Amino acid sequence: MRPNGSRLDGTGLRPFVLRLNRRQLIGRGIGAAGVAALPASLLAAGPALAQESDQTDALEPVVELEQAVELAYSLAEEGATLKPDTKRAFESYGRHAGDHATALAEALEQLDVEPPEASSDPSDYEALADFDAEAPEPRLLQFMIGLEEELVAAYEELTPELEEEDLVRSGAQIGASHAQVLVALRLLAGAPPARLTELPDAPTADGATDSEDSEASADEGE
Amino acid sequence: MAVQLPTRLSRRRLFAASGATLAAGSAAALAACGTTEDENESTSPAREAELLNEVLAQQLAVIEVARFAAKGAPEEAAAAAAELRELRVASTDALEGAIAELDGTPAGEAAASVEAESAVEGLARQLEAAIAASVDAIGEINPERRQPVQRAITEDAAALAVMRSTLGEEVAPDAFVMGPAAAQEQVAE
Repeated sequence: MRPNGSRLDGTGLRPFVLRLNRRQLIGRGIGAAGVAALPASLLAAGPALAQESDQTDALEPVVELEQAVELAYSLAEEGATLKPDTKRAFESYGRHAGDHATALAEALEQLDVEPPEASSDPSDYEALADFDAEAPEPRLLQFMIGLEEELVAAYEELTPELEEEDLVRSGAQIGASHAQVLVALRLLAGAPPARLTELPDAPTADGATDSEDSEASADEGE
Repeated sequence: MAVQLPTRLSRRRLFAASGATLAAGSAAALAACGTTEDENESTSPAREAELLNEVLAQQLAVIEVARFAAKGAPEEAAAAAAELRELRVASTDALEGAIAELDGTPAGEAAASVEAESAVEGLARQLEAAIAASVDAIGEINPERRQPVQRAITEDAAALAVMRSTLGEEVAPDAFVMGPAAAQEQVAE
């Protein structure tokens, strides 16, 4: 279990949204409202969905990656010397990632699965292993571009695993948002026109990417 | 140059397809999306063919509009439009194949069009319509056929970001991409 991710610790970082599970909501006397707010599709599913599944297993790492990305933007915005446009962009895209993490964590809770808790320590996130919040702007932009590419790929892999229509649509909308952020960061980094819309390889039906398949074919040919 | 664009989806359809309210972190959000059908039942082949045809009609319209933008737009937009056009030529072929596999008849015509002031604006607004329609459709599409539609939504969103940059609009305004930017939608209301 990760440490509690409250960032009201004098760092000036935006506090994470307080997340409550359904049990906690009921304990706080707003259970009726919480249950009334649940989508009929999930309520109707009942106990069959109220447990871990391929869907929730697929959602959890994506929530964690969104939390990591929100933290990275936030720390970079605070720690690095950035041009005003880049600072504004990091602030906005960190908010996007936070909104995604919150929404998907809510979905997990509605499926009765405890979402991963956010951490304020980058070392808790594998995706941030090489992250340096005080790095020069060009290096930070490249790092964030890498994270956004990872997110675009993550949503392409997530979509086939999702069961509820609303979640599938939300996953598509979030993946699209990361694609736009990717372009925005490349524009800030001065990428050549031909590279602006380049996306990570699409996963194939068996979950591998096209490039992995090509590499495998090349290996077999050797 | 005036470019014909497909008609926008109605707000009702946009919101039916939208997870935008999820951004508020509200548990009411999923309910607001309005889908109440049994999620575990797969979509029938006939319905799936119909949904893929809606996506196909939008993609055919993108091909038409991207052709203008690839020729007359500034460098960044022209490069993105040319690349997108190639992607859509390939993806419409694949969609037609998928629809035929489902015993459906592929839509031969592009989605209906509306006016725009320039080729770049035309492509931007067309892409917004295509994204909205594809997001609407993808929820009902069976898992094994979702990935190409998701890929097209992502590619369209990336190309839209370049068009918006060229137009001086905000490049990535929304955490949940519905098609038109949320602020733009509010102004239209």
